[in-house]
This record gives sequence, C-alpha cells and structure tokens, in this order.
Amino acid sequence: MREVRVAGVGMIRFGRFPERPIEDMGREAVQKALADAGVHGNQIQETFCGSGYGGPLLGQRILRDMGMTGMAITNVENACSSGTTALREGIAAVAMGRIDTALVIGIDKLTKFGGGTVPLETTDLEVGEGMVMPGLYAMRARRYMHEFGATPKHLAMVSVKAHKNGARNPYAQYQKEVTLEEVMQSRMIADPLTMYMCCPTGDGAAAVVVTTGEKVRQWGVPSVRVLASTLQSGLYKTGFRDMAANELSARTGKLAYEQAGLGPKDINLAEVHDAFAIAEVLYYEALGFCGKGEAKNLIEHGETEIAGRIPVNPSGGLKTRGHPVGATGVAQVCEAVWQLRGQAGGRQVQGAKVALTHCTGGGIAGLDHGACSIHIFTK
Amino acid sequence: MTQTEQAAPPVEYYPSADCWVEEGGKVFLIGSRCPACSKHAFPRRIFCDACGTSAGLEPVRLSNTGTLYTFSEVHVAPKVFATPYVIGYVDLPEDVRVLGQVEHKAAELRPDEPVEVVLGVIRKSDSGQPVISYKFRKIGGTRNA
Repeated sequence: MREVRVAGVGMIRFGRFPERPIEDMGREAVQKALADAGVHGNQIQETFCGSGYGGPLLGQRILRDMGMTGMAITNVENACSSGTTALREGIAAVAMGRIDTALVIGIDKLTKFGGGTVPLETTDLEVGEGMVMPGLYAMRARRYMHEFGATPKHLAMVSVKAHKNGARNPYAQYQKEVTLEEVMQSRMIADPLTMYMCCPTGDGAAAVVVTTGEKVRQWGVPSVRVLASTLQSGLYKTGFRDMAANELSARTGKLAYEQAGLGPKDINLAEVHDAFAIAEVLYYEALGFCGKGEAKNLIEHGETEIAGRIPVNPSGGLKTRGHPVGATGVAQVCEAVWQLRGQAGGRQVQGAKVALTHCTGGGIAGLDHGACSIHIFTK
Repeated sequence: MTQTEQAAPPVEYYPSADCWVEEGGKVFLIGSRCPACSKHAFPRRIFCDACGTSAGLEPVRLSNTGTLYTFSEVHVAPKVFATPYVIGYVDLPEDVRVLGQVEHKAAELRPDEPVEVVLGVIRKSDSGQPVISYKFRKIGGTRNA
C-alpha cells in the first residue's frame, strides 16, 4: 500500500443557515481545502462526498459550478459516519494506486428538518415504540451510572470541558463557556441527559484533499500522514448487550491501533463522537484511554482537558462545533490536521504528534450503532 | 353496512396484534425459536441470525416477566408521542431484549427491577388513532400513566 497523506483541509463555521443552499456551503469548504493544499480543481482525480441527509448527487451538485465535473464522483451515506466512510474510500483509492489525488467532502444541512431530534427510520421497530437518539444514549447513561457509580455531575463536567474548548474554536457553532450549574439545570431532554449534555443539530461542510507522499513533496505543502483508516458496522444482537460499554467502538479502535502499529498511550489527542456527554465517557473506555468504569476518574482529574494526559475533543467536539451528521467526521479530521500542524490557536495541544478521530452513530435496533470509523494521523 | 361499521377501527396495534397473546389476565409476547440452535428472538423471525437456519422457525410464547435493564424518561419526541414517557430495555429469560414503554415515572424505577408485560396505548397513529402495543409494569405495581 502506498503512503497516503492529507495535503489540505477546509471547513465552514458550523451553525444554523436555513437560507443558505447546501451546495454553496460545500463549495466554500472545497475551495478552502484546495487552497490549503495549494492545488487546482483539475488536479483532483476523484471525489467522495459523504452526507446523511443531503439527497441524490450531492457531490455533483457541489462541484458542478466549480467546473469539477467528468471525474468519478461517489456519493456516500452511512449516517453519522458518512463523511469518514467517504474519507476511507478516498484514502483506499490513493493507497491502492488507482489515483494519486482525491477530494473528500462531508456535509449536511439539518435545519431543513426544522428543530427537534434527528429523524429516524419509521420502519425501525423501536422507533415506533418511542425510541429517540437522546433516549438511547440516556439509557446507556443510566446503566453506566448504575454499574460504575458515575453521576450526572460527571456528564455535566464533560459538557463544561467541551464548551471551554469550543469557546476557542472559530469554527464551532457555539463559542461560549457554560458552568456546571447551567448544564445540570438546563431543560431535560431524556433523563438523565439535559439539553447541555446533547449536541445541537445544524448545518456544516468540511473537505480534505488526500494524496501520495510523492505528490506532497512535489507540491511542498505541510501534510499529515494517514496511519490507520477503518470502518466497521455494529454487531446484531437480539438478546443481552452490555450498554455500559461500546463493543463497536472498541472493536474499531483495536483495528485502527493494529493498522497504525500504535496503542492508546501513543495518542496525543483524540476527536471522538460526543453526540451526547455519556458517549464521550464510553469512548474514553472503548478507545483504551482508561480501563472499564474508570472514565469518571479521568473526568475528575481533568486528564482529557487540552493540557491533560490525553486531550479529548480540543475542538469542543460535536457538543459545541455542532453535528451536521455527514460533515462531522471530516470536520474532526480538519481539527486533527490543524493540531498536528500546530495551527489550532488557543486550543492547541502542545507538541501533538499523533491524533485519532472517531466517528460513529446511526440508530438501528439491535446494533450498538450502524457504523464506526476511526482514523489515526501523524505528522 | 351502516356508517358505524364502515368507520375506521378505533385503535391500531403496533407492530401488529399477532405479536402477543392474552391469557388468564396475562400478556405473552410471541417470538420465535430456532429448531437448530434454540435461539429465541422477538418479534418472530424467518432466519436465525445465530446459525443461519432459514426453515422451521416456529412461533413461541415468551415469558411474561423480565428484568428492566435500563430506562429513560423521554421529554423530546415526535409529536405522535405524549411526553414525557418512559422507555426501557427489558431482558426476558429466553435471552430476548425488548424495548418498550414503561408505565411508571423514571423516579419510581431502578435498573434490574422485575417487570411484567402489559398492553397499553403508546402513541397516536398518523391519522390520530390510539396505538396499542406491549408495555412494561413493575410486578405488583399499579398503572401510572
């Protein structure tokens, strides 16, 4: 397999833009990524566009007005992992030698649904009984607290950290710190999860250019190397499942560490899929940053803060950056690249050499989640 | 036929009324059992996901009591649901996990409590009819809805 590198990244500030066409958001992200890589659109040989709800031919709709047509454009849907599923395809196309340079887009516009929780498939048995995504995570939180003695305060502390970091991220939907009391006393969404323990929905777009080691040396641009690129789906279970752990993320993480030849201790920062505060807690354990049931110690000792032992979500995560489903995974990669290039400003993790991005989700009865995609990058 | 007889049925059943039977004042969910590996599942299956058997999966009556593994009181939901309501995962002794609404407030519940299967209204249909499905209630508990 050939060495694959991320040569350029770009994203728009996430937020609620009901009046702005999704294609326009996509074009801004693509333009920024191309400029960052210092390449012209005609050097892109294939495009992979990931979106959960963007509809048919979104890649073509974005690229048409930029004159970037004719090449293979692959549109990808995999719920919350749509963006990183597209990325994995782009990386594979370059690694296998089919092409040298690929463009990857992650994008969604959720304001088109109005407000409320992200719509789920009504053919799903559990959705008809009353399942909503916050309810699923809330049930995980209930079981986790029951087994390990964690409390809603631990969950609130995760949200406080997210907002502290997001306040320093110019791309975040919410750039405002919150107090523990504000989090605990905010509106109940699905007990024990309050509003400030749930990520907001919104609109966003992010793009990256991936290419070979040879090309980046030719172009003379700063780049980061892809050490692992993984995708797994959830295991179907009709009976007992341990909901105080996340089998899918643990399994995908193990695969990513094997590909990279690294372990959890080698990771300098991680961007994880904190759709809800409990999710980040479960992923600390699934990704091996601490043992089972130990996440509350990590939180209490501030070990996942930017200056801590293993900074998690220095960007502010989904909680403050916002979660336009298909855009999230690619935005995580933008953050990882900025961190490794030392360009993360007030949220910079000092001396970061290895970064992990973790994107998972998709509500489907009988599975932890539909999909999980983990990438590892190094300078 | 009179006007009354032509009217839509007053209630709907979810996912369908053949997913359970009522007997002796008790409600039993109807699942399936694999003849090859004995794995149970709910609702009924045609294929066994454990061993791949695709013939002879017979309907089977599951236990009408189980254990509440976890739960949440949901406050934000699609408008056909009356919020707040409680959902929970219940483990039946046949190693079948079922998601359903629980007829109690969250404050009255603890994980690992024994519960029984009951029937009740879970939401409205898109056309406004009450939708009846299986629900769960603490054993010996009274309805709180």
